[in-house]
Amino acid sequence: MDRWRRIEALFDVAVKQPPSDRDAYLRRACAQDLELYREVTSLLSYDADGTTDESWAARAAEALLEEGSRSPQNSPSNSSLAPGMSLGPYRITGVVGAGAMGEVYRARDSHLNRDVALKVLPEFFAIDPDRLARLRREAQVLASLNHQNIAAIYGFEDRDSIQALVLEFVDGPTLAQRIAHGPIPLDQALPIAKQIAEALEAAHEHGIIHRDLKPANIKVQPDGTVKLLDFGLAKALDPIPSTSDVSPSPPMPNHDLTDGGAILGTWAYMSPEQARGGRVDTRTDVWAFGSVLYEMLTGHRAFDGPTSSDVLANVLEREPDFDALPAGTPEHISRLLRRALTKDVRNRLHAIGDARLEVVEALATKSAVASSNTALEHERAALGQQIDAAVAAQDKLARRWRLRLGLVSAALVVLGITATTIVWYLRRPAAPPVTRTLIPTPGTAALTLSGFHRDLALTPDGRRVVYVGNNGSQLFVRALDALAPTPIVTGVNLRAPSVSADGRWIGFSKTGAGFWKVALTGGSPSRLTALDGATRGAAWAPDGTVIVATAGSTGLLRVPAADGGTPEVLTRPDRAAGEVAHLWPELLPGGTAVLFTITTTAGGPDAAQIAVKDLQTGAQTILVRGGSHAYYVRSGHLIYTAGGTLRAIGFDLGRRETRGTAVLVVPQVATTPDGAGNLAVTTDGTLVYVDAPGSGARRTLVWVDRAGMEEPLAAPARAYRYPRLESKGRRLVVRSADGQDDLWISEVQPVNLRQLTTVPGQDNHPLWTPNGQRIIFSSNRAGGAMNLWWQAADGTGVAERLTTSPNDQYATAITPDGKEAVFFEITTTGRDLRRLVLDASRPVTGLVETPADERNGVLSADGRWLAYESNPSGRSEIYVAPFPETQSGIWPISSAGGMQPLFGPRDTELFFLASDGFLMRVPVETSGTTFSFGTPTKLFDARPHITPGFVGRSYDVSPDGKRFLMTKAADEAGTAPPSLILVQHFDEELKRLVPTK
Amino acid sequence: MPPTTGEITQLLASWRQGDPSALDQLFPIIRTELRRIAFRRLRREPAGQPLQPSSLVQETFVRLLPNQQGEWQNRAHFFAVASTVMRHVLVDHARHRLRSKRGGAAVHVSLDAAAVLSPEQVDEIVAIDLALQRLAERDARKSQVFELRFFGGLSLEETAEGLGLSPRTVVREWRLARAWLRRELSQGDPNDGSVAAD
Repeated sequence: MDRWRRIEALFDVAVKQPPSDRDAYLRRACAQDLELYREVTSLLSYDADGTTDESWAARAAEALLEEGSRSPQNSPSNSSLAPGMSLGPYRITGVVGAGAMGEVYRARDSHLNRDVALKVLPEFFAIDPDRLARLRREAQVLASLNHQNIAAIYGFEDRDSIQALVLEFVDGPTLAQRIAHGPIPLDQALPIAKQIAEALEAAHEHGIIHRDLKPANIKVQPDGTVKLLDFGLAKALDPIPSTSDVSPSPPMPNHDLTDGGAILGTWAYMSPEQARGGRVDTRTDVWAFGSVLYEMLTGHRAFDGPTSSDVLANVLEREPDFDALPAGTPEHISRLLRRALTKDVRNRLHAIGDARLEVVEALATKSAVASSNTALEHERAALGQQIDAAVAAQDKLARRWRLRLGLVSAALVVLGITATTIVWYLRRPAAPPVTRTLIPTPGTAALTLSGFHRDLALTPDGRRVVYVGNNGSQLFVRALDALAPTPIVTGVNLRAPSVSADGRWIGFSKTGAGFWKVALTGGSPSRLTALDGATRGAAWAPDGTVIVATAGSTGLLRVPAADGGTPEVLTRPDRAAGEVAHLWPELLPGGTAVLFTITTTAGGPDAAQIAVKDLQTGAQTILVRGGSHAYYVRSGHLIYTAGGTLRAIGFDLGRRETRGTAVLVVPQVATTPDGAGNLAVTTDGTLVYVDAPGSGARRTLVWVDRAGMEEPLAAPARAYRYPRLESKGRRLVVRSADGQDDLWISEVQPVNLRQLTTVPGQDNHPLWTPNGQRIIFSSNRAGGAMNLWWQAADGTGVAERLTTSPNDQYATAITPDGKEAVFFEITTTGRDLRRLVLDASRPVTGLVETPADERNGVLSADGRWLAYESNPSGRSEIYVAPFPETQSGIWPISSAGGMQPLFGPRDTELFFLASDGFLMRVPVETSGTTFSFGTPTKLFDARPHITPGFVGRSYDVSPDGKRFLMTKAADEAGTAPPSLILVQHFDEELKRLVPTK
Repeated sequence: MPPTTGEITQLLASWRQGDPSALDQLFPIIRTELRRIAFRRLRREPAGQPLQPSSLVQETFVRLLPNQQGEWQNRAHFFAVASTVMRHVLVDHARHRLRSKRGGAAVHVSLDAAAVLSPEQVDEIVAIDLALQRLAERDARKSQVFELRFFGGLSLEETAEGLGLSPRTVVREWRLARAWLRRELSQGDPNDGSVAAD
C-alpha cells in the first residue's frame, strides 16, 4: 500500500468517527509513524465544517458535500484492519483470510494475553441495528458453549465502526487440508470422528446446531485435538435472516469463500433438507458428520460433481458410493454412514450420540484385534442389514414426492400454517400441489418494468425474487419468508437483474453503463464490463463466468464474474443467414450448454428461434422456431415465450432435442419487443412472472351503447385492436399486438380468450365468414407482404392461403352468401378496393380503383351496397356505391371527414367515425334501386375507443344494433403496479399439461 | 446553425465509445452555449451576485439537449464534459484577468466571462485549478470527482454515473479531495501559482 492510499484509508475511517475519538484512533493506527499521523490530522482539520472564513470555493464545495451527506449512500462502512492496528484490546498480528462474510484476522488479546481470531463482519451488519443486536445475542448463546473440541466464541467487539466476532484462535491444518493429501487411515480417522461427534453432541444438548460442518471447518491440532470452527455461525451470519427456523438458503454459502471449489465444498456437505431450504435440526449435523467421515475414509466427497448443480443433484438424488470405503472398514462404520447419509430425514440416524457410540464400538472392536467374526457380530450385522433394507424401501417409496417437501414446508411457514398442518401434510404421500401466489410490490418498492428487459429474477433455490422497483432506481430482494422486499442497490435506470449460479450475486445493467454486479446482501456494486449496448439477458455459469447478450448485434459474450474484464465473444449473429442478434442466454443444468434466442431480419418476434450451443464443442442447434427466451425445467421441458404467452415443449436434456409439440401453459406474460418474458423459473420448477403486457398499449375490451355508456368485458387488458363480432353476435375475434400480432377468439358471454393463430408472423384484420365457421385475416406468415388467409374459427386444421400478392391486403367485408370478400390492397399508386371470389380458383378483380386511397369497404346486410372511405380531396370521406357494379353510382355521405364506415344490422343506418373522433350515425334507405340517406348525427365521443394511427375499423356493432364492441386504453396511471405471480411446483403443472412420456 | 439535439447526443455516444475527436467537437459547442447563457444572466441578474458555475452547466444542458432530462446517460456524460469545459473557461478567463491586472499583455476580457467570476473568485479559481492539477498527479480520480462536482455542479449520483463509480465512493473521494484542496488553498499564494503556470 503506498503512502497516499494509507493516508486515504486512515482519513476515511477517521472522518466516520466522532471528532473526539479521532485523535485516539489515529495515534493508535499510525503507531510509530509520526509523519503519517500529522498528515492525516492536518487533512482532518480541513474537513471541519462551518468555519466562517470559508472562501467561495470552499463554500460551494460545502454545499455540494452537504448534499452528498444527505444521500442514503453515505452510510458508514467497515474498514479493513491491518497488522499493527488495534481494535480495543486486540492488536492485529496477521491476516488469516478474507471472503464474502468478512475478513478474519489473527490478533493478540492484550488483556488476557492470548491469541484470538477476529472475524470482522461485512458492512450490512453495521447498517442494520436489529441484525447487529440479534447477532450480539446469538454470540452470547454461542459463547456459552464450552467444550474442548469446539473453538470458543469469546465475544463480540463493536467499536471504531468495526464489528467483529472474537473467536478462539486455533492453529494447525484443517481437515480439508489433511484430506487433500489422501484418505486418512482408519486408526487416525476414527479418533477424529469421535471428537467431532462428541463436540456435536455437547452442542446439541444446548440446542445449538452447527449447520455448516465440513472438513474446512474442522481443525486438527498437532496434539491430535480436534476443534470445530464457526459453530452455529451459519445461522447467526445468514445474510438474509429468516424469521423461522428455515435454514439459510443453500446458495448462500456464508463462509470465507473466494473460489468456486470452496462453494462446491459447502454444497457437498449440505443435507437434502438444507439444500431444499427446509427446516433444519440436529439431524442435519448428523448428515454432515456422515459426509465428513466418508470423506476422511475415502479421500473424496460423498457427493461431488463438476458444478454446483451437479453436486446438489447428487445430494438430493444419488446414494454415495459405499463401495469406495476402504477394505476393513468396520461394519459399525459402514452402517453408521448409510444411516447418517439417509436422505429422508425421518429415517436418518436421529442422534449424534448414537453415531458416537458406533464410532466408539468400532474403535473398541478394532483395538481388540482378535475380534474375528463372532456369532454375535454376525447377528448384529444381519440385524443391521434388515434395518437398512427397510429404510431403503421406505426411502424409495418416498422419493417421488419428498423432493418437493422442502419448498412446500417453506411456503407453509410463510403462510403461517401451524406445525400440525405441516405434519399432516408431510404424511400425505401425494404430488405437491401447484400453488399460485400474488406477491405485492407495495409503495416505493413497486415493480417497475422497463419494457425492454427482463426486470425480475429468482435465486436458484426459488426462495428469493429479485426485481426492479421504485421507478428503476432500486433493486429489491423479496424473500418468500419475509413480509416485505428489501432494497439492495440504489441507482439510476437499474435494469435486468440476474442471479449467479451460487445465488450470492446479482447482475444488473444500468442503461448504457455496462454490466454490474452486487452481492445479494447488498453493498457496493461493481461494474464487470462495459458493453456496446444495453443488456439483453445474462446467465451466470457455475464456472464463474457470466454469459451476457446485448441489444447491439455483438452476439453472446462471456465475462469473468469475479473481476469482469474484456468480454470473450461466444457467438456472432450470422448476417448472411438473416440473423440480427443473439439474445436471452440461459444455461442448461451444469452450465455446459447455453440456450439463446436468435432474432432475424424478417418476420419480427414471431420468427425468432431458440438455439442451444454446446460451450465445449461449440455445436449449435435450433430447437424451436417461433419462440424466445427459453429455460430448462427439470421435469423435462423447455418453457419459452411466444406471442405474449408462455409455452412448454418436452425436452430431452441428454440429446438436447425437443419432444412432441408445444403447449400454451401461461396465456399472458409481459413480454418485451425482443421476446423476453418478464418471468424467471428455477430448474426445479418455481416460476415467477408478470402477466401484464409491458407496453403502454394495453387496452380493454368494452361495450359502448349509443349514448356512450361503457360496460367492460371481463377480459385482461392487452394490446387489442380490430374487435369483430360473429354475425350472430355470440363470439368475437380480436387482434392482440403485444409482442406480435395474433388473433384471439372468445365467446362473448363469458369471455374466454383463446389464441387462434400461433405461427410466426403477424396476423391481423380478422373477419368472420357469415356462417361463423372461418376467420379471414391478413398475415405475412409466409414471408413478404400481408396476404389473405383463412382458418377454421374453432382452431382446428391449418390456415389456408387465399391470395398471393407482393402488396399488403386487408379484408374488410364479405358478401352475405359468403362467396366473395372485399379487401383493400396497398399498391404503388395508393390503396384500392378489390374483391376476391372464394371459390377454388380464387380470382381477384378490381372494385374501386382510383388515384385516391380507398379503404375499409363494407357491405350492407343485403349485400347490395358498398360503403368505403376515399380521399380524393386529401381528406378521407365516406362514400356509398352499388355493389358489385360500383361504377353505376356514388353517394358522398360525409363532408367533414369520415373513416371506418359500417352498416347497421338492418340496413337502416350507417355508422362512421368523424374526423373529430365522434361516432356518427346516418339514417339510410337501401330497399329501392337507389340509395338515399339522411343527415349524419353524433352518437358519442369515441376518441377513447379508437387507436390513432391505425386505419382499420376499431369497432363492431352488436346484431341488435344497440351497442358497439370497442377497445379502450387501459388506465395505466390509475391501475395498481403489475404484480408478481409466483407459481410453486410449476413442474407438476408442466408434467400434466405437457406429458413427455 | 446550432447543432441539433441528435447531433450532440451522437457526439456524446461517440465519446462514450472512445472517440476523442467527438470531445473536440463537443467543447466549442458547449463553450459557446455557456458563454451565451452567462451573458444573458449578467443582464438579468443584479450586479455583485456571483453566478454559480453549476447552474450555468445545468442551463446549458437544458438548452442544448431539450427533452433529454429523462435521458440520464446523456445527462451524466454531458455534465462530465461540460464540467471540464467550465473549468477551462473559468481558468482561461481568470488567467487573462490576472495578466491584465498585472499590466501584462493587453488582453480583451469579454463581458460574458467577467460575469461568471467576482474578483476574489478570479484569484481562487486559478489556485483551485493548480491545486487540482497537483491532486491529479497524486490521485487522478479524486481530481476528477472534484472537477465534476465543483465545476459542473454534478450531484453525487451524476458524478458517480459520469465516472462509473459507486455513489459511496464518490462521497469518500470528494471528502478527502475537499480537505486536501482546502489545505492547499489556505497554504499557497494563488497569484504566484498562476504566474508560475503560464
